[in-house]
Formats: sequence, C-alpha cells, structure tokens
Amino acid sequence: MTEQTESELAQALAETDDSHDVTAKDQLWLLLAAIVPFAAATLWYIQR
Amino acid sequence: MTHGETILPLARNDRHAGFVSIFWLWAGGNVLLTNFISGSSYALGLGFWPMLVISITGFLLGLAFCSWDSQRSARYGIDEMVSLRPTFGYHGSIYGVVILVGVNFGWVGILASLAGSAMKLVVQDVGSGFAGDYTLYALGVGIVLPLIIIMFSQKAAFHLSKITVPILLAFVVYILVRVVAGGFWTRVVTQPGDGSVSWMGAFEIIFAFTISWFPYLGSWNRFASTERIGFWGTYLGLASTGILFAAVGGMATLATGQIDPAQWSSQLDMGLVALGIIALGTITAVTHLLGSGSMGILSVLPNWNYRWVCLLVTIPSAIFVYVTSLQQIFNLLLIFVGLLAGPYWGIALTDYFFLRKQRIDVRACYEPKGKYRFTGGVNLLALACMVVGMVVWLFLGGWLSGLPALTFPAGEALFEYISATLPSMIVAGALYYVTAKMFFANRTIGDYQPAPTEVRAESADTARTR
Repeated sequence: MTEQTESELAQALAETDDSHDVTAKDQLWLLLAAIVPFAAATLWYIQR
Repeated sequence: MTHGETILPLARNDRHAGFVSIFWLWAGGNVLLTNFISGSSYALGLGFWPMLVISITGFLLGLAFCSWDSQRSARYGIDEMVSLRPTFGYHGSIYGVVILVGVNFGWVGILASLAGSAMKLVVQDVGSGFAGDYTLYALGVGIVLPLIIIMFSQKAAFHLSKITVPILLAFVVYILVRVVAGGFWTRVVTQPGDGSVSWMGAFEIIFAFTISWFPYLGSWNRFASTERIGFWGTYLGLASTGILFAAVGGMATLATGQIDPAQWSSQLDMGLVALGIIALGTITAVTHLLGSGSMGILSVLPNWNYRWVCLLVTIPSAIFVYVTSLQQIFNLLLIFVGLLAGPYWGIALTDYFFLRKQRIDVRACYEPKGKYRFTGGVNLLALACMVVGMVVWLFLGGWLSGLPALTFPAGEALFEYISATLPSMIVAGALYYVTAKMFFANRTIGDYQPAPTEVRAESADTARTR
C-alpha cells in the first residue's frame, strides 16, 4: 500500500462518522477527579 | 487483514468495544510488574501513608491526561499516530512513532527480564533451576508467547484481558493478604520515610509513568463503540489497576526493604502464586505493547506485512533481557518519556481541544497534500514549541539524569514545587496556542484557516440561503 493508495482507501471508506458524546459534565467530573484529590493531598503532606 | 489491523479509520459499525471491554482492556494493560516498581520506587522515601495517598491522587491526575488523549481516537476511530497528523503534519507524526517504538523496546525488555529473573528465583526456591533458565523464561514467557498471540490477531489482546485480569486481581489481593496477615503489617505502617524521594519526585515518577501510555492509547481506543466509552473506560481501567499495583508494590517494599518484585515476592514466601502473577502479567502486558507498537509502525509503513512488523517491534527488546540494573533502566525510561513525549503530546492536546475545538477531518489525515499539509509534511512551529518544552523539562528535571551538565540548582529547587513533565507540557502547549494563533492567522496550511475556495463556497451557500 503506497501513500497514494492509503489515501484512496481512506476516501473510499464508508462514512467514518464521529461519535461525540463526551459532555461538558463528563469533562467537569474528570477535571475534579484529577485536580481536587491531588491538591488536597499536597496540602495535607505539606502541613503534616 | 481487516481494517482493525491497518491504520485505516474504523467505521462506526466496526467499533464494537463496549465499556466492559475497554475497561478490562486498559485494566489488563496496566497489570504490569513495572507498576509494582513505580510504587516501590518512592515507598521507602515517603513512608506508608504518603506513599498510599500519592499513589491514589497522583494516578488520578496523570491518567486524566490519558483520558483526554483518548478522545481523538475514540471519537473518530483512528489510530494514535494518525490522530497526530493534523497537529504535526503527515511526516511530523513519525516522531510519535519513534517515541512509541523506543518506549516499546524498553517496556517489553524490562517486563521480560523481570519475568525471567522472578521466575528463575521462584523456580529455584522449589529446587528445580537449570543452566539457561533465565533466558528461557525471559524470552519464552516475556517475548515469544505474546508475539505468537499478537501475530495471530491484534484483537486477541481483548480476549486475553478478559481471562487474565480478574485472575491477576485475585493474585494481588493475595499479596495484600500476605503483607497484612503475614506479620509484616506493623512494619509497613510504622516505617518512616527516609527522604530519598520527595513528594514531587514521587509525583514525577507517577506522571511520567502514566503519560507513557500516550503512544498506545489510540490503537485500542479506536475500537470503542462511543467516545464516552473510550473516555471513561480508559480512565477507570488504567486507574483501577495502576493505583492498586503501585500501592501493593509500595507496601511489599516497605515490608521487605526490596524494590525488585522478584526479591520481595520471594521474601514474602509467595512461591507459585508469584510465578502465576508474573507469567500472566507479562503475557497480557507485552501482548498489548506489541500490538500497539506494530500499529505505530504500520502508520508510517502501511505497505508492510502486519506479522513481519510484529516481529520487527519484538526482536530488539531481547537486548534489554540482558541488562543488569532494572531500577536504573526503569528510571531512564521515565526520563525518556517525560522529556521526549511530554511536550509533544502537550502540543497535540492543546491543538485538538483549544485550536481545532475537537474537530478533525478524518479523510484529510490520510492525504499528505490535503488540508493538514505543512512545509515538507512537518509542522515546524509545533516542533519548535516542543523543543522549548524540552528545554523547560531539562531545566526542571535534568538533575534526574545524574549528569552535572544537566543539573541546574534553581530548576532542581523549583522541581520540588511543580515537578518537570507536567509544566513542560503546559509550557509547550501554551506556547503553541499563542504562536499558532499568530502564525496561522493568514496562512491556509494546516487547516487553521479555511482555504480561499472554501471561504468562497461558504459565502455562496450563505448568499443562496438568504
């Protein structure tokens, strides 16, 4: 498969429609899960 | 060969992996002996409670970036390396493949050698060692068996995970029971940290360890049936076993004073149970690694045969089987990841979320002279920002290499507050955001601004609808 045929195959594919169902709420939950515990733990470690 | 074994995008009806599959895939992929070492590497420095707390919170923070990185592939059904093309260009994404293959050689080699030394120790304990046993165990269990599985089918890793991961989790619980009920618990909990690793030092280990997943994420998450399944399945799957294994590794180290899993499993009198953990963990993890490494190479050399590529990404790992100091190789591999992969993926994430607003044209990713064309197929601006990110990393974390030329007292002092890899990703990403906004403001390359023909077509459409 050359670059050209790779490109041709990609164009020939059936519609590769996207699946965009990650919501703002999902992002907020992940952000909170990522930052809040680590920030709280760092403060705890500094103060002990 | 199906599209699952090429780098072509998967159509929606070809993406079958539900939440349980993706969760177990990543939970199984993270069932790594190296995960034990990550916890062990900072346990003696911090002591029990800080070790436990940083293992939980550090992984929760680091793996969030894996979840965000998963979104491109889970949304569009494309491989990680293909998803990097809009940011770095058709040829610029090859850098990601180099990182992937380099990290792959290291991880597979370390896993195989850990498996070899651990199995040798355990088998010798029951009195049946023989000449060349280490090589046989390391190459046979750590490399040849996973190679055969992945050459059979990339999807075999999914099936393998569903069988091995629950068994491995039960084994880890058994280690925990041995530590708690075997007379080690008081020593584990009361032993103070010796200060050899700081809080931020531990976070750096965890963060570099978690982002070492970046090159692998897309090749598996493109099978996710929805973006949300990839997003949460990756996070929860990697976190569940990552935290568990790091914490258990840390406890085992505090109980025995040993960092090498082979040593502490022997001192905890694990016997055949340890053998089972090591064999299953190695086969599962190396199968995942080889599958992802092969797909990475196929993204650059799509006309190569899948099974030959599998062989190619496997053979060089055998060199690491004969390396003597695993701990040093582990630390060097994390430096390699933090320095070379952190800023690169920091730019990719910034580009996808803040410049492209989570939208890419899948078909254009396969056109070298299409929308995402750059001069020579490489986005030099992105690479320049990556170099700046690397300089930031070297300033903050260069001392981790132990080389005086890369040790900056001010950077080392600052490291204790902000670590190295995360800030280098933020600096590289922020710099790219600002410079790309200016540089591509009046240029059509890279599809940051619509091409004149598209603008005209849009204007005509607008006029017609009025």
